[in-house]
Amino acid sequence: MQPAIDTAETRARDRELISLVQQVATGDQSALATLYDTTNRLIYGLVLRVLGDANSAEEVLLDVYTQVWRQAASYDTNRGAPLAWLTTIARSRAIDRLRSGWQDQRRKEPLDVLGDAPGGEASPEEMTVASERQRFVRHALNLLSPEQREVIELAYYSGLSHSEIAAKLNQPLGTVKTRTRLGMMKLREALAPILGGSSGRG
Amino acid sequence: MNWDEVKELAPLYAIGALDAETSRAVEASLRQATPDQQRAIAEWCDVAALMPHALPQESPPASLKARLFDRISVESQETPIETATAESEAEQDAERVARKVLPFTPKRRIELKIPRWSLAAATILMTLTCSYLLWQNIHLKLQNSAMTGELGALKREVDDIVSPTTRIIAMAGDAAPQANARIAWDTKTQQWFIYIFDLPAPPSDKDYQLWYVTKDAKISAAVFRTDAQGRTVLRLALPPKALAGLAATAVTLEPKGGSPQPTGDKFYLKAAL
Repeated sequence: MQPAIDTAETRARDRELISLVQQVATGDQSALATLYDTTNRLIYGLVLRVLGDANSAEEVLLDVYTQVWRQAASYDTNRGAPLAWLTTIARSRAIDRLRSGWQDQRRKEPLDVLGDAPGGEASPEEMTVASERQRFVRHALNLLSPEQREVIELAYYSGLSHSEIAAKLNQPLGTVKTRTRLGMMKLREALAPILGGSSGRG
Repeated sequence: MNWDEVKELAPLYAIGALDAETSRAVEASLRQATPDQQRAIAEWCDVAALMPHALPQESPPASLKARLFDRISVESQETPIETATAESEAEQDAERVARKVLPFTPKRRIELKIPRWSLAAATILMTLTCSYLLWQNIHLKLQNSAMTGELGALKREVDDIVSPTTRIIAMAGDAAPQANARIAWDTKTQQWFIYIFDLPAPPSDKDYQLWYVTKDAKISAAVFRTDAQGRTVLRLALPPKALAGLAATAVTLEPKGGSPQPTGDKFYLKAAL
């Protein structure tokens, strides 16, 4: 059974994020602080999933929010939801680092960073919205066949093209394309209730 | 690439499964698409962007936020901070020196007999030295200001190049096989940064000319020369008339000052877009 989700709440959160990004574009550091507090756990989770290494993930996280600070003015609400914009920057940065062979470039962190405690938890309200959305997206992913999910995750989290995935899985290219397309169509259908709100256009 | 092909590829494009070349072809078609068509593809991208919501959310170290704001503060106020620091250090040095100076009471008066002419010479020498140091200081400040400006411009250029909205296009040519170039195309601001390498400097009565090639026309983009190492950098804003149906770009050798239309059929650099 599909988990319930409060789409009105989701849309309201997106409007808040759009407003924050617009304030960041005017050079408002407190807006950036709020945006960071609201989204850093999602973005850190993503870059950590791509890179599999906490030190690199932290560096990429810094790069992501620095880029947000510099380029907030270029965010266009018609081209996607604020979280979609943020996750696209984060994925792109993480995949770039993955491809650049970051494993060879690891540096020792300064002593004051070693053993640092994790950052504060998100507020209960943020946790509720985040966990609702998490349950909803997990449910949607669980509707995919294992083969469809595998190709989609290899493309998104490992940055592999369909021909690279075909070689890796030893499958015909056409099979990989079909699995990806069908999987994405299934995801789109399952995620439809939050896509309107997520897009910021609904 | 026609719109049916773009629609067919949209889910693969959104999830990042296309190879770089096909992905660029989709993006080129998207630039020509209507707002409704662009929104249709953006919805596929929103589907992909929801993927990370399924992941366990992890908290980064608390110190990372402070590092972020340190970095941003340095970037935002680089020059004033450096100046302020230098001034305060100078003041602190002066204070430090002042604290070290102990009251001094001479035990006996020492009388030195120094000729008047040598005092005058010393005064002139000191004035000249001070003038030179003052001139040098002004010169260094101007140099520093110019370098800060250049660094800022370079930073902006690097930001544009690493932006997710920037495409990198390679150029090569037949007439100068060793020559090559890279176009960094910022698709948000529609600006091109072109870095040209190993294109021999043209004869003194000729210039190179870059053309935007559309379905219907060849539009002059820039007239330029390369240096002794065969290098130059061009920064261009794409005009709307070039954006409509832009299919390729090419460099030809033209009479000095450029031509209204290409006069030769040799391409020194070219790229399909």
